Amino acid sequence: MNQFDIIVVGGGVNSLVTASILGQSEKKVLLLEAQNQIGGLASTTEFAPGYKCNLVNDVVKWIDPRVLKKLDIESHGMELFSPDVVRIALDTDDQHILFHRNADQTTASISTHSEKDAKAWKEFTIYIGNLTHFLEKLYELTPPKLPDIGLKEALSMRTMLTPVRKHGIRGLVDFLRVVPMMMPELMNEWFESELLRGAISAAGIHHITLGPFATATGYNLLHQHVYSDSVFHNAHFIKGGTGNLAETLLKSAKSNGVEIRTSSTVQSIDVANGICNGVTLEDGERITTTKVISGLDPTHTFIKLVGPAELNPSFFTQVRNIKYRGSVSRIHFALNSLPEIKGVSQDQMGTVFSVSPSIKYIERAADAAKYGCIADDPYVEFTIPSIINSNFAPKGKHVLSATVQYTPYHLRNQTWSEELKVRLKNNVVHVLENYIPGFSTQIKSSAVFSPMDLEDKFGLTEGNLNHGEMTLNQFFFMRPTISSAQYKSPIENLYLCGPSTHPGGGLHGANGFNAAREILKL
Amino acid sequence: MSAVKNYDAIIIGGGHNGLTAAAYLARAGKKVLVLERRYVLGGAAVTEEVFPGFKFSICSYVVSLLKPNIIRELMLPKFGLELLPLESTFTPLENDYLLRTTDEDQTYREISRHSPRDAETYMRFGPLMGQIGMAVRPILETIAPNAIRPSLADLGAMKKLLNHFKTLSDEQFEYLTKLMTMSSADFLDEWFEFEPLKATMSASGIIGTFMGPRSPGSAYVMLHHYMGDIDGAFRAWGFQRGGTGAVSMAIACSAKHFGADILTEAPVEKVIVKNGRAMGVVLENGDEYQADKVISGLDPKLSFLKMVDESDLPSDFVTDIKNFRIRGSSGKVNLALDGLPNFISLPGDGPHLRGAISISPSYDYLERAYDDAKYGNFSQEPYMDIIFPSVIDPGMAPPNKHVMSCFVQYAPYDIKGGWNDQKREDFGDAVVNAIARFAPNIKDIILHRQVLSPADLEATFGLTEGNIFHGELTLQQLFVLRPAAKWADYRTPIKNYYQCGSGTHPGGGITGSPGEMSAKKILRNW
Repeated sequence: MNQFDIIVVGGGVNSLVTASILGQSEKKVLLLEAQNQIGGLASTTEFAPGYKCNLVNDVVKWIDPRVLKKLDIESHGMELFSPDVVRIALDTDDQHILFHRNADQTTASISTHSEKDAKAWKEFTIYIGNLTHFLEKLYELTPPKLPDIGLKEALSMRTMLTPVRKHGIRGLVDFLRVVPMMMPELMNEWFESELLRGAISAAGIHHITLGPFATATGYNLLHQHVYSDSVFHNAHFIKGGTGNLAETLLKSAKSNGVEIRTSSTVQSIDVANGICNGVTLEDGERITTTKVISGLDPTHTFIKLVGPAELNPSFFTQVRNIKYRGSVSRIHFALNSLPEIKGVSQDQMGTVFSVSPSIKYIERAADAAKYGCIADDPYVEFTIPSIINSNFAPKGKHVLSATVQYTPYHLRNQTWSEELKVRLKNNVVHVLENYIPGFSTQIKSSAVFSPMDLEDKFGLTEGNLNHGEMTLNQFFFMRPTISSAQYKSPIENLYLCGPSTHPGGGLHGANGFNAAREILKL
Repeated sequence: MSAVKNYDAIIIGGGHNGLTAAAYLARAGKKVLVLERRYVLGGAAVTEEVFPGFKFSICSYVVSLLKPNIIRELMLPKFGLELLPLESTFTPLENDYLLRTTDEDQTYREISRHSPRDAETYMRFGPLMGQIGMAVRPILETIAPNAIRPSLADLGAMKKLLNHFKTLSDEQFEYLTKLMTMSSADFLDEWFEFEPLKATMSASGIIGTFMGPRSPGSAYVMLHHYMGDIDGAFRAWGFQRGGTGAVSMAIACSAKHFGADILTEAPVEKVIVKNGRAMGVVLENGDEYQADKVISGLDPKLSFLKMVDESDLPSDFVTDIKNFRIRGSSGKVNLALDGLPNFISLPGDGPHLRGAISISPSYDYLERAYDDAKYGNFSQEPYMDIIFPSVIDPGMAPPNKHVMSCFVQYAPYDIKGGWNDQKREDFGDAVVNAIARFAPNIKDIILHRQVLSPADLEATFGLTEGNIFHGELTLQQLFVLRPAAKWADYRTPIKNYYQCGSGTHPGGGITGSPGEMSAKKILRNW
């Protein structure tokens, strides 16, 4: 007899959601996490004595409402901090654009740059908000198996009619038009201010390797705004740090009877005759089960843990052809004092800042990655999480966490080294000095995570935070591959629930929810 | 006002699509008039003697996609259509070269000289692309349905397409999806390893498009250029005897044969619209022609923002047309030569001069060329697709002299400081220098040089922003969205006003397809 019905490999947000929902349905579930704490990309940790940081994500853009409801997250103690100013796009002349939750206030901020843009702003946010309704419904679906789609699958997609009824076919046409767009193209239809165009485009390139001139950055922009209620650049902090999202899910999972083991590295997913029957841990322990669900990325899951020998050749090729290409680095700065940002008052500091003065600025940074170099003038997005969470730093001291693009995993004629990480850090400090004079003198210590480090630490292939790039060729029925887009792998009893599946990356739990639903169907 | 003449249908623009539409309408017994602004027919598919004795296909220069049924139905061979095959694609490299020819064995040997693995793959790749091309053909041959309010016929057509897709194998469907969404570089990287081969193949994904080989979406443009490759053999590109203008002339002769009237030097000023209905056209000289139907072969911007008044169109349609992406990215340099260039890596005459020469040594080369354009400059070291028409067709140049046609990318329409005479000459110099890197004697043999910037292409051929496809072939501008939702079936919001140019489905290239399908659609409901 198997001790467990289901083993979930990995302890990130989606794995926890899947485990918890399955636990709710009276399954005996075991979750295995390699690190000494759960959370994956939603981890909070100490990076310097007395200084804590959110390792990867400082904010969540959206959480699937189905997950919130099903797991009754709020009762488990998670509190969101949703700032009024969701983002500040920094301007070299201190005429920053403040993105408020309230579009009218944003309008006032934009009007210092362009009256015309200010007038168009509210309409733009509603336009984008409406288009995201199509994604919201799409994200609830299990992708159909194409090309030979049956009546049952076609019927399961009928919920897509809801947004169509709401916004008309015209709305659908706009959705189909904007998804494949590139940022300059979308911006040409709406805005003229360079700063505003750059600041909006930043949403299109969030956590991807391509620049704003790449086709279908429109899709990524919409992805960032699902359930945003037309609040552009919507962002929520989690009180106590992003790790509390994971902690909450952990509590939920435990209350649903899920057994959790940390510091348990899975060495192999065991397959016999094409059927998955358990896992073997690094210490040699073998655990048998009926079903294994992997929250890891497909390369990690299939090539490393299952092994090529057990994969059919066409699936092996599909997995090998998944595009990862991480190019995001994280740098955490432990600071002696609160940084002063010119033109920003202290009560506005609990937000996300972006250095994106123009579309071309971001594109030039992306060009560097194209040729296998790190950007000299990178696109930098940063927060000061210690403002929201006083426990992140000793009294009077602060933490500044920066997300840096573009810093490719695949470098040319060099490899990731300590020297290169220092150079990267210096580039970022140099960029931030433009807005925070004297920034370099405030730095007590810092921690740099290159895509290579992210791979090592989190098992992210090529350091890609989305477990596969968020591009149209890896979207919906193609995510992660055409033969494994239904959360089911070609190997019997082996399933996927991570960001590599539909609907992609982010701390929203939608993948985990959909995966659990598929497994419960059986 | 001078005399008013009556026709069943008037076609604005004597490009190859306009002429094709005219021929089909005339063939159906309609009284048709074609009005061409220039002194010569053909639009962008035109041959002109630019320098005494030297004839150039000055704009569009090769033919592959012309639909077989059009050739047959319009009896084009009888009227002079004669396609001479391009025998090879030659990619000169620093100290070596890559040569692919119509001879499969030779191509295999040439590629395996660089990569045996690629040589094997190449033999499988061609047929696969052929299959995918076949899989897409039913879409290309379907009149794009009205996505907003589909008719019964539209629904029938959609059902047929859906059923067609169900017949595709998983593998075909996967590759088709990838081709619709990926960059040509990514797609080719999944197959090949030898960079110059990949770069040269990827280049067909950037032609006429303001994208680099690493830009998602370029794989579709590559597929578009493979459509002519129906037999799964070598990309069957050909050169028309007498230049591409002779293709247009063949279609024009066919149209005349069926009874169409064709006027040149007859620029249309405006479409006459009364009560939301097109009644005819008025020429720049004031002449008026009345017709039951008016059909524009111009690009969507000219058709709707110039030929008619905005006030005659719904405002959301005007917005769609204004947002239609039509960025010009290429230029053309035509050279009259006193001999043939001598390539360092493959000296002397040979089959490599009887085909296309591709200046595309690596992805990075193409990407850097794109980067220049992205930031508002022409490429210092551009991508080029070069042919020597006079080698294939001696009639194009005086004895022992030659003509050389260079399609050049990137030359952005919106260039810093704007296009002027100095910029044009600088651009021409950059082109010659880039060729000289591989064939240094080029500079000594140039007799005359014609440089066409995107601004020149716009001024000469009426191509808005110099875009050779009447609008880029990106996902949001294909099929039911080309040029705008609800109006992708050749109709327009103005009654009796139609479109038949490359800005409609299935897009650019010398295909004749938009012209044919437009005429058939119009005849269906006449």
